[in-house]
Amino acid sequence: MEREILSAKNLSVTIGGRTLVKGVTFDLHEGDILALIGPNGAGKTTILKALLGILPSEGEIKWQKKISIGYVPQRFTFDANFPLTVQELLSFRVKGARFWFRPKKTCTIISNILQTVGAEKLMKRRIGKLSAGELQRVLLAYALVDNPQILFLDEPVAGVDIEGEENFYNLITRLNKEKNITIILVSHDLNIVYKYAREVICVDKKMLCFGAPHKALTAEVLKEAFGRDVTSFKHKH
Amino acid sequence: MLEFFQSEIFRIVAVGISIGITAAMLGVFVILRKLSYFPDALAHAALAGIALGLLSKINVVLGAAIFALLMALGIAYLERKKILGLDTIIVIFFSTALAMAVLVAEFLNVSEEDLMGYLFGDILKITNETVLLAVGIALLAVIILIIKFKLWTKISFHSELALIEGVKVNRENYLFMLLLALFVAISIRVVGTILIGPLLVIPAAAANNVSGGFRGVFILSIIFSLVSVILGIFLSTIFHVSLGPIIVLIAAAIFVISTILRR
Repeated sequence: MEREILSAKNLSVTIGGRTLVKGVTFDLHEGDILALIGPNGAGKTTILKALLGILPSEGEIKWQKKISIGYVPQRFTFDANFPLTVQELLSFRVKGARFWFRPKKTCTIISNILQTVGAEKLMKRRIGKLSAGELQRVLLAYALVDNPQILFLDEPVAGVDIEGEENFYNLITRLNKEKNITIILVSHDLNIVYKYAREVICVDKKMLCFGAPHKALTAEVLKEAFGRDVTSFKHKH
Repeated sequence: MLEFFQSEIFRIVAVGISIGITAAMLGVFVILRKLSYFPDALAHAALAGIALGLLSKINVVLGAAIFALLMALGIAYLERKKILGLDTIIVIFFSTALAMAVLVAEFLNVSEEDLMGYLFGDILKITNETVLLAVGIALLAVIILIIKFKLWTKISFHSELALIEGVKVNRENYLFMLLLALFVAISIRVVGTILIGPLLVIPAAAANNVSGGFRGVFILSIIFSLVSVILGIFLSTIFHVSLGPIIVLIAAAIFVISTILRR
């Protein structure tokens, strides 16, 4: 059994008197790929943000000590005119790298990480001029700079074409296998969950299930979460 | 040699360069954080501070700095509370401060010439104390920006991402506003209330037009600002026109050229 990296007990988030999500309990072990699924507005991103400490929460969240986290946000909105190159963005995360004086070592680190995600040609490009797929690769590279033990991916392929989506998830799977990076993945696409996740949490303002996708995602759970249409869903595996 | 350092032209150039460099550096963060109206609001608060300084006979620069800072903190607090949009909050503070400044100026019978001096700047009236304060604030700004550059760039680009990475975003925002308030207080006598905003915004906007990366924007903003200030001092001395407006017009001309050359 791999080491436990995170455990959440009865996690709930209430903002302005409104409970956005409640009763989330799960544990996560090193090397896992956990998918967090549910319909729009179910509280998936809320849970992610509570785990990351951006949103206040009740219940218990226990992280492994001194854990390093990488995060690829959902629909990364920023000013497209912001004058930042890919290299400058990544240099934010390189330890000891100064913004003004960029030693060769920093450039090598950045170049290697961009190579890992297949984006080495984008180094000098302005962030605002990247396509959706290119931006996702760069954001993944950004999340990987610090050699994270765990990666949070919040609907990371929103707005990316099907081929780009497939490539992205293959890359994630490779990173998980080669570097044993634990992954928490938010998605509302059941295909993705069945294909890539080893465990799944299904939520709709409260936790509906937790476990291996084929066991946990019963017809009842899917009906409760997604409505009548999905109960007849059949995946291809 | 000592005579040169005490000469009027040295004082003007020293203040001009100090204010030009500080404005260029802070201006990059002002435009990228979409805070272009913010310095105007601070400048009007500073005007109220000057008026109250004259009334209570405390140092006007100190009065301006305190008032600008109070307004910066007030705006930042309300913005964090998300009660209203930033633009609305700024207009409320801005107009309240201006109303206070006008009433106090009326009460004190401040001459029209003096009032114009505070609105559009009058570099001939700067004192040695102003020169030292301007140089001091410029040095402070350079030191803080060297230390905070990476953090502030990250916050300007994506504050949520910075927050996730453990950056104390609110604390850094307050420090930025403090520096901005100090800059506004010291530059009001030189470029005037109305022209502080453009001095911060235009060189940085021109630099953003023509540079590919953030470092380039920063360096070009300083160059454009210094060219505007030094050329402005030169032209205003020759043609005996107000310094603030001429600086802004030169910066605007650079902006037009940069827009044509836009990458």
